[in-house]
Amino acid sequence: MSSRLDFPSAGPAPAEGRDAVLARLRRYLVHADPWGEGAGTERGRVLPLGIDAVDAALPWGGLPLGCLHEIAGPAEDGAATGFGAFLLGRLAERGTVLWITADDDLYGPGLAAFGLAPARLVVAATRRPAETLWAMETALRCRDLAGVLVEPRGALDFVASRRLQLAARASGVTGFVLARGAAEAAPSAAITGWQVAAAPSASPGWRPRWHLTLARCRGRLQGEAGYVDRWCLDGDGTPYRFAVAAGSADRPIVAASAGLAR
Amino acid sequence: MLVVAVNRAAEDEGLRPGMTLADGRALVPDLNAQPFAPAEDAAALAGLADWCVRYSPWAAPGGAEGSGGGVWLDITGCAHLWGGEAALIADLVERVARAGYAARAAVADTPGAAWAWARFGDPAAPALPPGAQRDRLAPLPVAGLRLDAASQATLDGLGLRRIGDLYDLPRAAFGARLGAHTVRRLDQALGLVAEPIAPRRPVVPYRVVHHAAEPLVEPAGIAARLRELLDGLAARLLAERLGVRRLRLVACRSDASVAELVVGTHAASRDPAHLFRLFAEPLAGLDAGFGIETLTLAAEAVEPLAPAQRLLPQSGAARTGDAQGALELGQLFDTLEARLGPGRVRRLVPHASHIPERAVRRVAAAEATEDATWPADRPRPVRLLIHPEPIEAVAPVPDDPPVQFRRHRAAHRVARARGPERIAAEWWRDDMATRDYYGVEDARGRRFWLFRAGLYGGDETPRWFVHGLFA
Repeated sequence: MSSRLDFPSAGPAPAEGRDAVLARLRRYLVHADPWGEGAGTERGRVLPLGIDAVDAALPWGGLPLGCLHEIAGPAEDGAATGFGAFLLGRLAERGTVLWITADDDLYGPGLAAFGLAPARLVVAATRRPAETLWAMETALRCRDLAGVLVEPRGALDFVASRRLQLAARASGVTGFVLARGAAEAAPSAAITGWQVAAAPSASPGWRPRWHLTLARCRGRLQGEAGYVDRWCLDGDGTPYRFAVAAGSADRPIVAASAGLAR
Repeated sequence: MLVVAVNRAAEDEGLRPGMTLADGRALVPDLNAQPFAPAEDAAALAGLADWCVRYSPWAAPGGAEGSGGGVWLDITGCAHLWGGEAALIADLVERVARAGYAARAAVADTPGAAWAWARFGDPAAPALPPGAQRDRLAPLPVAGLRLDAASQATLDGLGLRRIGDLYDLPRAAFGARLGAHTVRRLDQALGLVAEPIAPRRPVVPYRVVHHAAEPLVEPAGIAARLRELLDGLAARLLAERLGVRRLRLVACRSDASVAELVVGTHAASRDPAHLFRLFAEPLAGLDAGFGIETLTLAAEAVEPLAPAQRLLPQSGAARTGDAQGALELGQLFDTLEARLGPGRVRRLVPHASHIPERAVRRVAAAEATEDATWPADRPRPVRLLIHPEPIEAVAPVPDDPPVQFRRHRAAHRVARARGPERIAAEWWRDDMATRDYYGVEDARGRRFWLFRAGLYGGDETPRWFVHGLFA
C-alpha cells in the first residue's frame, strides 16, 4: 500500500472509474483513521497472525494491538477457548499475559500447547461480574502486560466494551473479550469480532480444527463483494500454528448490505 | 450460687465477692444479679486492651487474680506525648468512663506496684514517683500482692496484714513458711525480680500514630489521614532502605472499640500511592461508629528494598493523559489480590503427578517459576472441569472408545477417538478407580476428554465421565 495519502481531489472527476475511486478512499480512511475515532490517532502496532488469508482480510495486515477484540463461541466446547489461547499465546512471546476468568477450569498443560507457558501466563479468578470488569479495566492500565483476556459471564454491553476499548487505547495493552455461549452479537465497541466453532477433522492426528469467522472489523467493509470472511483453520506444531485448510470458505450472504460495518 | 463481683454501691451495702447469692439477697432484697460470663468478660477486656493501643502498643489484658481483671499497659517512653503520666492516666480513665466502664488506674515502676496502687492506693495521686514503691506500698494490705486465698489466710493468721510487715522478715524462714510464690510476688512488686508483660499484639518497630482532634466520621477524612500516615511511614522506611510486605491499620473508636484492616503486597513496596490504593476497598467497609479518635498504622512485615530510580514519564504517556496512573506488574498483582482475595492471582505450574487434576499446582503470581513445563507428548484439553461430569456412554467392551454418549441431554455421535490412556491411582493413595482416558470428537467436530472409571468385569459397573474440553 502506498504510504502517501492520495486524497481524491475536489476538482472534476478523473478518468478512473467509480470503483477505483472508492477503493482509494477506503485505503485513505483506514490509514488516516483506523479506529474511526477522529484525527490524530497514531498508527497502531500490528501482530501478524501467521495465517496469510486471515492477515490479508484484516486492513492492517494483522491483528491491531492496543485495542479490544471480541471472540465468541459456544460454551460447550473448547474451540473459542483455544482461539483465545492462540491469540494470547502469540502475545505471550512479547511479555506476560493475564487471563481473567470466573470459572476456575483452565488447564495448564492444554494451554501450554498454545505458547502460554507458566512463566508467561497469570490467571486471575474472580467471583462476581463486577469484579471481572473491574479487574479487566485495572489490568488494561498496566503497560507491562503484553495482553489481557477476560471471560465475563454473559455478554458485555456497549458501554462496558467502550470503556475497555478506551482503556486499551490509552495504555497500549491489547485486550480480548471471550464470550462463550453468548447470544447473537450485541453492539460492541471492539475493533474486531471473531466467531469460532469446532470443525470436523479431516486428517489423522489429534489437532485443533476450527471454523473461524471475522464477524466484525472496524474500518473494513464487511462482506466486501457480498462475502462473509470465514476460514477453516488447521493447527500444527508445538506451539500450535495454524493454516487455512481448504481455501477461504467464502460463502455468499443473502443480502449484502453496503456501508461501513461496525 | 456465689457472688463473683460487686460494684461500689453493693460494696457499700456489705456484699463481698465469695458470699452466696442468697446471703446477698438477704442484705439487699432488690439485688440486680447478672450471670457470670467469663468468656465474654475476657473478650471485652481483650477489646479494651486493643483499644489501649492508642496510648502504647504494649497492652495486654491480665491481672485477674483477686478482684477482677484489668489491662496492663507499658507506657515507657509514651507519657511525654500526653504531658506526663498523671495526664495520661486522667485521659485514659475519662475515656474509658465515657465508654461505660468504671475504672481505676495507676502508674508505677513495676506491674506489681501498679496493680496494688490501682486497687488500694490513693485515687487522687495515681502516679507513683519513680523508686517510691517501697515506701508507698508499705501501708497497703497484703491483698495488694496478688496472692491466692490460702496464702492470704496464712498471712492473716500470722498477724501480717500490711505489705510493710513483710519487708524485714528473714528471707529463708519467710519462704519456707509461706511459699516461694509469696516471696516472688513481693519481689516483683518492689522491682527486685523482673516481670515482663507480653503484649497482646506483636509490637513492630515501624508504627505511626495519628490522634485526631475531633472524632473522624467521614470516609474522606479517614482516607486523608491514612494518606498522611502512609507518607510518614514511607519516609521512615526510605531512610532505612526497607519496604513493607504487610500493613495493619488499627482505628480506635470513641466507644473504646477498635477496627482493624490488614493489606499485604506481593513484593516489598513503600510507594504511598500504591499502598493507599490497596486500602481503598477495605476502607470503604470500615465502620467508624461514633467517630475514630486514633489511627495507628504498623508495618508488620518488612523486607530490604533498595532505592530505585523512577523512570521519567514517556512522551507518549504525557500525550494521552496518564491521569489514571500506569501500574507496574507487581502493583497490578497486589491491586488485583487486594480486591479479589488472597490466592486468586496465580500461575499454573507443573506438579509431578500423572493424575490430570493433580498435575497442576497454583502458585502466587509473583513467585519466580523455573522454566518447567508439562510433557508435550500427550495432548491435553484446554479446560479441565473442576469435577468430572457423569455421562451416559455406549462403548464396546473391553477397551474400545465409546461410539456415542449423552451429555446435558444432548447426544453426541463419536466420529473419531484417541486412546485409551490408562491412568491409575498413585500407589500410596488408594482413593481413585483406574481410569481409561479417551479423546473423542463428535460429528460436528467438538472434542472432549472422556474417561471410564473402573474396569469391566470388576465388582462395580464402570462409569463414564467427561473431564475436559479440547481446543
